Amino acid sequence: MEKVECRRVFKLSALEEDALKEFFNMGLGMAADSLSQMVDNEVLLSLPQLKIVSYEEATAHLVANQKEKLVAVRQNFIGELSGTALLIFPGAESLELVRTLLSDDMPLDILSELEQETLLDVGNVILNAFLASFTQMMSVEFDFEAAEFLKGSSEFLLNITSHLATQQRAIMGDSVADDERAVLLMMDFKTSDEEKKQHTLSGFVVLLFTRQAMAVLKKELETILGQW
Amino acid sequence: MAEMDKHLLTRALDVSAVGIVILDPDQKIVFWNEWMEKGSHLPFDTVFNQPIFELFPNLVNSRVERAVEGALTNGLPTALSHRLTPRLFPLYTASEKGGKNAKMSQMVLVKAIRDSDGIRYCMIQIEDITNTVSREHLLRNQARELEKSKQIAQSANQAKSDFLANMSHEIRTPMNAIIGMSHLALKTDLDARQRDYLQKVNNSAQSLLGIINDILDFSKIEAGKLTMELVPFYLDDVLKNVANLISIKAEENGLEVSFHVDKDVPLNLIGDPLRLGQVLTNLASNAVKFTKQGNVVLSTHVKALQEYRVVLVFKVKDTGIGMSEAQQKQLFQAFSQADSSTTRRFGGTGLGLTISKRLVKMMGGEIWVESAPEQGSTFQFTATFSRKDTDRRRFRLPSRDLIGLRVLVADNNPIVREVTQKSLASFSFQVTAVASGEEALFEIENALGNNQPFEIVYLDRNMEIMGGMETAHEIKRRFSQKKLPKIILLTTYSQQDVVKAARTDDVDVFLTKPVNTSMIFAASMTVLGHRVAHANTALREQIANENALRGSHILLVEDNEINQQIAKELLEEEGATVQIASNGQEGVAAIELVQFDAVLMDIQMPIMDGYVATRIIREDERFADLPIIAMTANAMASDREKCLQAGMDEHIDKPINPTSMFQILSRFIKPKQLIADKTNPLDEREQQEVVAQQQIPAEIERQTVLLPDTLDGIDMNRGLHSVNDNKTLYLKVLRGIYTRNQGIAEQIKSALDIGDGQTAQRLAHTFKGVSGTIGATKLYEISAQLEEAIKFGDDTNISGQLNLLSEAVKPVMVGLAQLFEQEKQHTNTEIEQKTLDRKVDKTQIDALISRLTVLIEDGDSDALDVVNKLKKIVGSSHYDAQFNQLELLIDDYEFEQAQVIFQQLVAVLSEI
Amino acid sequence: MSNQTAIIIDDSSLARMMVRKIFATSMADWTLLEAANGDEALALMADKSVDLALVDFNMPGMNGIDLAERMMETAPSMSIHLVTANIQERMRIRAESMGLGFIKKPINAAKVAEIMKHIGH
Repeated sequence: MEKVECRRVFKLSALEEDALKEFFNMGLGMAADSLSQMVDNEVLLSLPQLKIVSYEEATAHLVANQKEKLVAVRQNFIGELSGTALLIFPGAESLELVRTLLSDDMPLDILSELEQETLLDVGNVILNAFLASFTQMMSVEFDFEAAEFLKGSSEFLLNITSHLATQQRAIMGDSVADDERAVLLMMDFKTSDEEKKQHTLSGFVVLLFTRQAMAVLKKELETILGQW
Repeated sequence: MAEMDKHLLTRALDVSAVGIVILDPDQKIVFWNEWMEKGSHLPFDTVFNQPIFELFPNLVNSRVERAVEGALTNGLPTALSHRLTPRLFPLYTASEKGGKNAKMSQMVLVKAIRDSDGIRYCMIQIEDITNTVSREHLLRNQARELEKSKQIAQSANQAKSDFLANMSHEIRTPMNAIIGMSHLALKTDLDARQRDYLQKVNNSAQSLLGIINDILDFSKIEAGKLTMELVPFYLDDVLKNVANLISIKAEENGLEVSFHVDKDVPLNLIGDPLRLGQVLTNLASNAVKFTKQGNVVLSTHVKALQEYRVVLVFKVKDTGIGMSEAQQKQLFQAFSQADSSTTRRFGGTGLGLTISKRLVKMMGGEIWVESAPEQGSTFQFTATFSRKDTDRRRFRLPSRDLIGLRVLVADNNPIVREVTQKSLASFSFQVTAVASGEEALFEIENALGNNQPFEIVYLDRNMEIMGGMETAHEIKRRFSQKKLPKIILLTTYSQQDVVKAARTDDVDVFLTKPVNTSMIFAASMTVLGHRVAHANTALREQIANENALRGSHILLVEDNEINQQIAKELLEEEGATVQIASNGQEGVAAIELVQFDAVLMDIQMPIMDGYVATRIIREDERFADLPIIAMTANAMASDREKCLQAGMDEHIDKPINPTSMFQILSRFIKPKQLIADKTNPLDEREQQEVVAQQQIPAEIERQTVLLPDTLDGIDMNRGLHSVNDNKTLYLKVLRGIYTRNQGIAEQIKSALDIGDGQTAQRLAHTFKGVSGTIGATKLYEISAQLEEAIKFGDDTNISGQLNLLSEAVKPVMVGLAQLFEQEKQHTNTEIEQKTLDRKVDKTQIDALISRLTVLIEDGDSDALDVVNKLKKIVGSSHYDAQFNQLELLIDDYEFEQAQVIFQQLVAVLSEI
Repeated sequence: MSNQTAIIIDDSSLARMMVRKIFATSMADWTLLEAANGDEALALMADKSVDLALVDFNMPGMNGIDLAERMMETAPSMSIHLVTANIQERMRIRAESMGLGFIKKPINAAKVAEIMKHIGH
């Protein structure tokens, strides 16, 4: 019952959801542009799927897609609207991505140190493009923490307490279960390299917000939509 | 946090293990730590307050610049990796490779930081990753080297297996000659010593071939190229094949081989029958090889049965020398037999079990052995198959009345006895088994006394004291007044001929051992007068084998002359007539002219290979059902697949194994009257007469062929060459052209007139083929051009070539008209057809006459039946008097007199 | 030059709202049609003459390029502009090689004014 209750709190109107989707869409476009400049090839974009889901649903979704450990790039943003942006690659695909980028002629079995750095670089570029376009529409100010490379289970990655010290503090005083909310945005990247069809890349962008942050987000959306 | 000493903080940044640069909002350097000084060789005071991109102009418009801008304007952090950032700071480091001043590989982080007024500054943090880079470089090089040597090893392996496959092909061709020729030679008159030599040549060649096959398989396993097929097959056919392959050897060793298939084993399976057969043959022939006396039993039962899948257990049990545990352990390793001395003693490559193990694994099963020295060995393996026709029950009794039918089995070998008994019992028969002829007689008498007579008696021919034949005779003699059981006699392979020669009335059916369940079923049903649908393939093959080919007309498409000779003579030995085409094109042309019962098709041939030829033949609806059997020397599963795809029905490996060639052919050539269609399918006499009717004695006809020295427009030498100097055939082809192709140009034209280009093209194509065959070079060229023109719709060329053709055909036809003077008078097709029919009659009459000549000379009263046939075929009452007289004389055994009358009759008949 | 008709085709209602606002503010003499996907657009345009089309690229069903192709067949004189979040260079080249205008999202009044200059308003 409690869950249904809190879901209502964060229920976005169709218009708000549409607006959020469009922001993400633009963010995705910018990210793809940056990525395409790096791979010197067009990056195909799929229609972004936007889902606002609970922690459990999000983990279930990720687990269903991938059993092994996930590789992710994290970028925390702090301000009136604090949250965590994650770019999550299913394990094998992260290797594939980085090797496409590096055109490694002799890949190693594991993600090497340099490859991790490369992946961090790429993830950072994508998240920056994404966050820039997302935050540009907002009236609130943000600060960003440096991007970090993470490896872990989906349970770990999607748990908001894993990520942000400030948020963690906020949650401690609050009821944890209710606040473990994730806005899960799935996006697919696909390289359109005709000759190397095997290099199909895909990843998810996940934004993690606390309940408080969600309320701020909703208000922001209302303001933006009010302008039009 | 309390205010900290500024000096302390600066020191901390200075001694950091990373480079730290701080830029003000105008991108001017406000901090530059010691690490940076060392790396850039630029002291802080020389860079202080300088705009960073003026200091490093090569970084203008680089990712670094964009990152700095991003941080200062939006607060966005950037991580710049070494590989994706071509332009980085000109920093130097000491490294093993580059000496003191090697270029530094860097990982750069660009972040926004705010001062106490909230103004954004930019911090650049640089990490020296030169060592990591060179370490990974090394790692990659090593991996690359490893991959390279792996590839070299692989390609060497590939070259090795290519070489082996190639060699095997090269070896097979002469092997074919050795095996085939020695086989043929063994059928000629030889003295004992020559026969012994040749037999040894043949045996050695056979075992050499086995070794080559093993090596080829093994190399395929090594190269990972061994493939499994998934085709529907009938388990009993596989077992029968195994039986055929090992029975001779078993018999030489004085062993009994028996087969038992459990009642619930489904027989319609999907899998690779050849590979299954290979494993079974390997295990069974090992068993035979290592068993001096006793039995080899091959049995099959179900391990797990599902609707669409079955796991079967195959078990090969022998009473041979057995093995110690140590010996068993190295059994499945390549190149090892139980010990190396056995290799020498028993021969073989020692690869068989390795191959078997692999094949079994590919069939989703495992193989194991239970054995002890001098205790015999039991090899078992499991294999998984898909099931076909899951609902079909196996040996379904045709009538409920047969349930509980009483059957007696007499065999002195306890294991064979038991297996036969089990099989019979599985049909729900009531079986009594005894070990000797005497006991059999006792049981029969007893049963009669109890008014529960046996309906069928199985007798082993080789029982001690009283053998099967004597027992059978004794049964007929003693109980002639009573209801006699049907008698089935089990013989061994080598006794076949002896037994057949004896041709006794005492026995209803002969079965050659080893027998399997479906053979027993088929034999039982046959003697009871029931038709058996599929289950009797094996039996039917056994019975029909020798006779199926008799009288059949087979086209052999093969370019190698030795192979031509071997196949032709082998087939003619079996009573078939063989026509030869030297390549696919000739083959295609030949079937247009003559009706064949089957085609044996070589694959690699000049001009047109077997695949293409088959496709062309199959395109024509008339030949949709013509059996085409491939002959290949490649022996790869993929070749077999290719053959089937091209539309061939089966596949024979070269060198040709005569037995399996006959078997395969007899499966496709349907004797005109199937044994199973008759109430008593095993009446051999009747069978032979059917055959005699069909036989076209090529030799006789060949002698009578008279060819002119020249024919207008025809290069006869070339033509004769293309039919392998078979004058009869050549004449036939010529006649075919003469009767059918007078108006070829008009035929093609009228097809074109109605817009049927396809028919026109086919006509041109066919005519091209036949004119090529007869050596009509000019006609060949014109029709080839014509065919091309039709194909490309080149109308002007078509009409030109048509005119040329119709002109060129005329002189050829005039020449042929002179040759076939008699036919010339009857140009309308109806009469021609009759002439052709009479031609057939004539050959039949000739066949019967030659058979009758022999029978009368031998004083064989079978002659009577042949006289009757002859009378029917001649069909005219004009000769009734002679025929009646002949019949009377033969009936009275007056063969000398009959001879005289017969000669007169022949003289008269030859004038028809 | 009044009574011109423009159409915006975008699955995002925010994007349509933004265009609506721009037209209402600075191009009041225009009639603006709205469609959320290609099929809707084609149905709407079947019996109307349209002078300007702003087409999103990434939409459910027909994508913007395919839609533009169809529209060019039926209304060759119409000015068509791809308005997209997909701002990659190759996308721009593709649009321009087809004779389409290329506008990076988010759309704003300045960008619309630029188009108007080109088509002579």
